[in-house]
Amino acid sequence: MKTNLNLKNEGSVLIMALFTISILTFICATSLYIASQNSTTGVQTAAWQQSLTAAESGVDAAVRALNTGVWTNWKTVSTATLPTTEPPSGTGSNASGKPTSSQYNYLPSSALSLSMQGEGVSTESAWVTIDTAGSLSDSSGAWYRIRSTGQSVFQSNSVLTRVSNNRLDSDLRNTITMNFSRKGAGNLGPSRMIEVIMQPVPQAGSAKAITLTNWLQMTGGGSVDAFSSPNDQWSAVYRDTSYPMLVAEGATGNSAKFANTGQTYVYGGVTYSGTAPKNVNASGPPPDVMGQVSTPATVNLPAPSDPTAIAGQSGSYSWTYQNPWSGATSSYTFNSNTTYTGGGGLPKNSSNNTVTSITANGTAGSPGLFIINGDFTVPGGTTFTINPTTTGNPPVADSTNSYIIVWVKGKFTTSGSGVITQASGTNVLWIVDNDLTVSGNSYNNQNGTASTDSFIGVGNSRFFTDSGSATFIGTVNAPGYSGTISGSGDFTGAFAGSSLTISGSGSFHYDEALNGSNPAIGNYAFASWFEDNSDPTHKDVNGNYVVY
Amino acid sequence: MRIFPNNKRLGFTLVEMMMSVGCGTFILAAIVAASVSLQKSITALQSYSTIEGDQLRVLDYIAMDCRRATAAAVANGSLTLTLPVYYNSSSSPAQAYMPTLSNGSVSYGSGSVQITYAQSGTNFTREVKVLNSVGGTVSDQTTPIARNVSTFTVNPILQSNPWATVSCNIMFFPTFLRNTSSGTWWSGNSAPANGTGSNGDWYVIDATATDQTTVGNVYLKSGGTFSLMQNVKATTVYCNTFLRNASAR
Repeated sequence: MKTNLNLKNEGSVLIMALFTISILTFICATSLYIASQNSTTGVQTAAWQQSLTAAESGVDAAVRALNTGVWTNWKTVSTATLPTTEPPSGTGSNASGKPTSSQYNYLPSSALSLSMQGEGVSTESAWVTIDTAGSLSDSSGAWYRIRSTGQSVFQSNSVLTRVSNNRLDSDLRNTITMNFSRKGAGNLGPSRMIEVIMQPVPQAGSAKAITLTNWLQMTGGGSVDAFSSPNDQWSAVYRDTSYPMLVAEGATGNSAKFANTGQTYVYGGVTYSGTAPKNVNASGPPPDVMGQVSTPATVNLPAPSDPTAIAGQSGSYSWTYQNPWSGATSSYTFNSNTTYTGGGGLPKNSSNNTVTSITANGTAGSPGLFIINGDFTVPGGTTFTINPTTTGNPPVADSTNSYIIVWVKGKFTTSGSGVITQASGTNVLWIVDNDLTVSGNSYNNQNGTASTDSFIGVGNSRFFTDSGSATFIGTVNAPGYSGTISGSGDFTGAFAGSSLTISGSGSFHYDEALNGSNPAIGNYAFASWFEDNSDPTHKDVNGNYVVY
Repeated sequence: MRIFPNNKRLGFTLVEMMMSVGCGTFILAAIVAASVSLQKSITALQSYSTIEGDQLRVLDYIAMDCRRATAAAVANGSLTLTLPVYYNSSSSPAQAYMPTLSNGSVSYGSGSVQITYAQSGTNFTREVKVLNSVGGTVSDQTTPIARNVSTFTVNPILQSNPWATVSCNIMFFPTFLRNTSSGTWWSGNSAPANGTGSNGDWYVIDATATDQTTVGNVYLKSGGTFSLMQNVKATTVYCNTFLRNASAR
């Protein structure tokens, strides 16, 4: 009896102790579980973010390859179908250039990998593909699709097996993280895939149809388009329906403004900096701007300069000029020139006789130089003709020897019924140091092609005016000039200036031949960015396979 | 006769009893107090973990959607992002559409996906609406992605700004610090009126406060009166994400 009584007393204490310890253990276990779960969620979240960083690094590597043409470690695979998991080692042959429409280039993750120490992720890597995405292209060239998959590999699989209790986290991160690995089943861990579309940016000749350091305003009924025709002469049937970028505005404080009358004004795109263009879609469809409206604009118009006298060589000049549309830079040396005196009428020669015609007498590499000291004015009722050098009998224009540069040190003005006739076969480049007033009626470019008639405006705070009812054919590169195109006549060519107001009903036609046959691609710019967050093999919390 | 000596050994004196009961009570009280404290700590930890998970999820969702959005709009306190229809759901499994060029811009499939972030009561919701090419709704699903949200503010977006970003503030109730128990959480832009809620309810001055220095002030209603408990700053998350597709080129 004594023994039994003692045992009962000791047992109650033991039970109490065990009960207490059990409660404390349960509480501690719960606490540790929550803390562990929280820690795991944190690690997974961090790894998920690291995967994005890896994927973006892959995009950077692809852009670098596109821009530099260096394809070290890249492979070319001859199929247009992109893989959904990383191709096995040894796939493809060494890449030597951009992929064609039936290929894709591939950068294996072994070439873009980073090992790390400590808890969490042990390895970050990315594998990348580049293809033409079904031959995307525009007038500048092929567009490319980059798919980059960033992949994190954990130190320990324990991180993989314990996930957040919230299913939403699985929808956002863990569906891909835990169950779906684009790298392969043996490499579980967060993976994120980015799809980027890159568009080509011409290196030189980046000027558009209308390139302005400030702004464009269209208040009439005219339109802007681009064309490419066999003879470089505009017709609506040759309009570029890919709607390339036509207008570039560089100012940050002004904006393009399009008339709000419901007409289609720009058969192309507008790129701008600063305030967005107004009324670009005021009365659509169709919108006033049918192409892309994008920002920011890169407007880089080198300021043209006058020819420079060569020291010690009387009458000799040198001149360098970069064409903003073709990107070509030309350097000239003039060992002689013909000088006239300008004023309120047609120029006069050294004998004070009025000059009514000149002959283009040089080649493309060595054009003739005419200098007009003062204003060049073609008054009403007068004509001024630029004739070609001729050859043969009967004489015909020798276009290869009919290049001239006319340097007007004052204003260039045609007024009233005065007419300048640029004969067929000639190629004229005007350097004008002051205001420039011309019209389609008063400047008759018989070649019919814009590339044969170029006006270069030198200086700032000048004005360019084109009016009349006939089509002006030529280019104007005058970065310091404020332009106005009025009247019902069209403008065929290109304009680069400070600002431009198109107030008349005449239309503006950009001749794509001005860009040159194959403008060099300087680099590639982002056109689209998308992250694929869907797992086609697992449903989300709402029962969907496709998860946005 | 031998039993008495044994019985005597089994008993306790009054002093012994008082001492043992006193010590036992003290130990038991300590254990109970420790247990309650641990339980509170666990509850707070769990709440903190939940809120942290919610905050990370909200930020990750918004950042991901902003990066891939082609347009963004703010109206009535909600943020609507437009995404391309990337997936061809008619294929099995769903595959990405081949991108196409239209008017100089890239598009996938036809139609669009509108994702709207908004506050619904104390929930923060993400609505995914898939629209067809003529704007008709193909599917519309709203999912709460975070709870215990006090306020959601998003700044109007100036699309003309080439460097446009989406800036959001999401303030959570500090439930991890002040367990709600059966009380309800309230919020507002200034100190609560005593007519708000009932005893045991909590109140926090949210991000819309007229005096920003008071944001996070937590009040408890007791005896019909709200009393300031403390200021909690750590329950607001902020994101400022660049709209890559909508603005960047």
